[in-house]
Amino acid sequence: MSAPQKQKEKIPEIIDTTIDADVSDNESGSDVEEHDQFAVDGVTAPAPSTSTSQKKKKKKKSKAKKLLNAIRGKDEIPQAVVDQVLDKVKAEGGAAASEANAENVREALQQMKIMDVVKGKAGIGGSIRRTWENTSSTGEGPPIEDGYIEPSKPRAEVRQEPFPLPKDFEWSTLDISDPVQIKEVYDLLSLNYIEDDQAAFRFQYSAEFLAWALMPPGYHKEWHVGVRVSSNKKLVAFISGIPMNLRIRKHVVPLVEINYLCVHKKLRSKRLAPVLIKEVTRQCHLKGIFQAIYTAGIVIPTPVSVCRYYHRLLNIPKLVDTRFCYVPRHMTLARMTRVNKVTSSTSLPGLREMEEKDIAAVAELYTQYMKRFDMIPMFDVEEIRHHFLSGKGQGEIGSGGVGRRQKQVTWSYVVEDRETGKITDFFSFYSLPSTVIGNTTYPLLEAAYLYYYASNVGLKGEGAEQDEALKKRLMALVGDALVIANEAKFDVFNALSLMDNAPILQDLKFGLGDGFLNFYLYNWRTAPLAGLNIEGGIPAGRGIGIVML
Amino acid sequence: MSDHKPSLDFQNAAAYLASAPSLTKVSTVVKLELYGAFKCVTCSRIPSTSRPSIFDMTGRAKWDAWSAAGKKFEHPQDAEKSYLEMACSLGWTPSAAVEGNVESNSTAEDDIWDKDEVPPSAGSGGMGNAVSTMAPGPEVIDKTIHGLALSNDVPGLNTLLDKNPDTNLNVLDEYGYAPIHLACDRGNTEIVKILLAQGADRNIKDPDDLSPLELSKEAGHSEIEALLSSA
Repeated sequence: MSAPQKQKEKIPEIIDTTIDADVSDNESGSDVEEHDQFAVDGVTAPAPSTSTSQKKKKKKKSKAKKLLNAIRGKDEIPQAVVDQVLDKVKAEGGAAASEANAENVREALQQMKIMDVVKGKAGIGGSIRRTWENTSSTGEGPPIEDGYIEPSKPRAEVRQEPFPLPKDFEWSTLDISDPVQIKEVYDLLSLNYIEDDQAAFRFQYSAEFLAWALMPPGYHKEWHVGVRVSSNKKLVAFISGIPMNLRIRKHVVPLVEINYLCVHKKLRSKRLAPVLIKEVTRQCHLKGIFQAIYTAGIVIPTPVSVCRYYHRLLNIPKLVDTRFCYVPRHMTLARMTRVNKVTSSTSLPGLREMEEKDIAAVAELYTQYMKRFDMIPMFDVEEIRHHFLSGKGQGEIGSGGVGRRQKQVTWSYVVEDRETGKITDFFSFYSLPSTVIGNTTYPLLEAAYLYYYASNVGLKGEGAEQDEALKKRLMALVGDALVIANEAKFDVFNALSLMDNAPILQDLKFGLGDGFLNFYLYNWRTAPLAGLNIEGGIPAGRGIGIVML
Repeated sequence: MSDHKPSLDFQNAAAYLASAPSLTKVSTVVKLELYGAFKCVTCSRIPSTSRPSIFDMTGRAKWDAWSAAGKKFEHPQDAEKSYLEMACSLGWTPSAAVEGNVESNSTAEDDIWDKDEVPPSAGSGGMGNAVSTMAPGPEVIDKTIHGLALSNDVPGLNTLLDKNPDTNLNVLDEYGYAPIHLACDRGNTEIVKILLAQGADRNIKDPDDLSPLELSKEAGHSEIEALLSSA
């Protein structure tokens, strides 16, 4: 925590005489208002609908100003902010309330990079904010009714020529079905994509993973946008979109999921990110798509929801050695290993790998179960096949290492009722390793991520009784996912506090992560969705039924 | 982009200033002046963007400097002249800088890339997913013998033992661990050496009935393993 802080303090001193100014940096609107809005939505976190009365707004504004002044004095989170958040967390109750204290609130705020946001320089996020700010999801004031913010344009009115790039660079549409080009994307991302705060781990999306994630049914190759160096054609920046029908509360919105924005580390001063965002937006407009969903680890105005990462430790010695986790004060590594030991056999009778013949049943179960959540991708049969079966890899289990096929990306399992032959449950997880930066013993952290799941227990009964029964079932289901992931030699199993995860994570020995995931909608207005927090009576997690890859 | 082609001298001066040691001692005011003039010469007379927000202090200061320079200099040539004068006052000489320029001109393509000294912006700050690790517990400063064994504080432990020669080396903490258990588990070899030299019990069992040797084995600290195995 201290090193980045020091760096931040120095920033006003460094005046670079060589770096290009941002050509596309068009700030608009009042920053104080923006901050005010942020303070409302991001820090104290009530629904925007509480800020309607004029008086209240004024009060908030002056409060925000006071906080701001305190913030700008030093680079620490002011006590006032911490206190306010703490009060709010305690008042809202929920699982987090009992654990909340000034220290961990401060820490959480630090991790959410609030200072960066306040100063408007949250890395690439800053450009997202500036590029898309007028159409951020929750917008000014309370959402009156769900819907678009800016109307769609006919194709003829969409800008027809690509946005200009700095000299020496050129646009390039990537053909992800070409192994050479997907390798280029892989190379770019594996060296330059997202790292953790300590720059100890960096996502290493495999080529197979990218092929799976970027080519769902109906994908557009024009939405795989690259930037190359004109002279040698080296790929130095990338952004992608995939089409999706997203149900947001009662509306089904055909939109684009934006992901994998990446600029070469040594070109970060060129301000390519805002141009990439604008260009992929233009490409979407050309296909008649005017809404988007995207996620970020950082907070920019204004997320529709925030979720937190949880981690189930599997390979303790490796996780400790790579500093993914630490041995707690009251334990030894030996005890930690024993406490986190996963059984060697699964618990649910009828559990087996999902097959081609299960697609229709899984699609039906998915559709019914996902009605529980406020924001979900609608999958048809083809999409179910793609998302749960196409990533199963080649060859026999074991051909790609213990418990794995070659090039396996996803693991999907169903529970088949032995008497009726019906599919009663399914779960899936995917493999997303991270490079362990600078560790020669363990260069790669093998992480499994919980993907979608469903159980017909969630379709029966109601209220507390259903909650209880479903929790029990999901404990068994995700517990079995842990067994399978452990067999396949994953080091850690990750999940977010979304869907029905919140109640089961602690009991399955998941621990709190330091990462948060913020969900954003572009050009769509809706009230905050329950992620980390309860929103409008919806239990934590149940607002979000989408897993971003 | 302005039509003005910066002179070779200007490019040299800019290259010189980019890494000039004298620049670190220069006030921000001067740096901003340099920046403003530089932008007038290389980009346009005034910034084409709107003024950055007050929260982006650096960006705003730079924007202001550029805008001010645009008002001061009518032609890029004037800005260039002023820039060169300032560069001279900061130790640049037209002849001395030519060497430095040779390499930067010879590989024109290198100009595309950021300099190595520019730290890449934190890799984490972006769209997409977040890389998460386990949230660390609160950091506790503990100067007891257990705390020192945990934090691998060798001088601290030596001082403690010097001052209090009667310290019980096998005292258990609130969780039932002796200092040697903690040092063996966390891999703090020097601490283990000191404890052994001072006569700590090498066979003492932890609450899980594990000895220091077993703990170091399980945690994969072969150096400590060897230390404890050698009688």
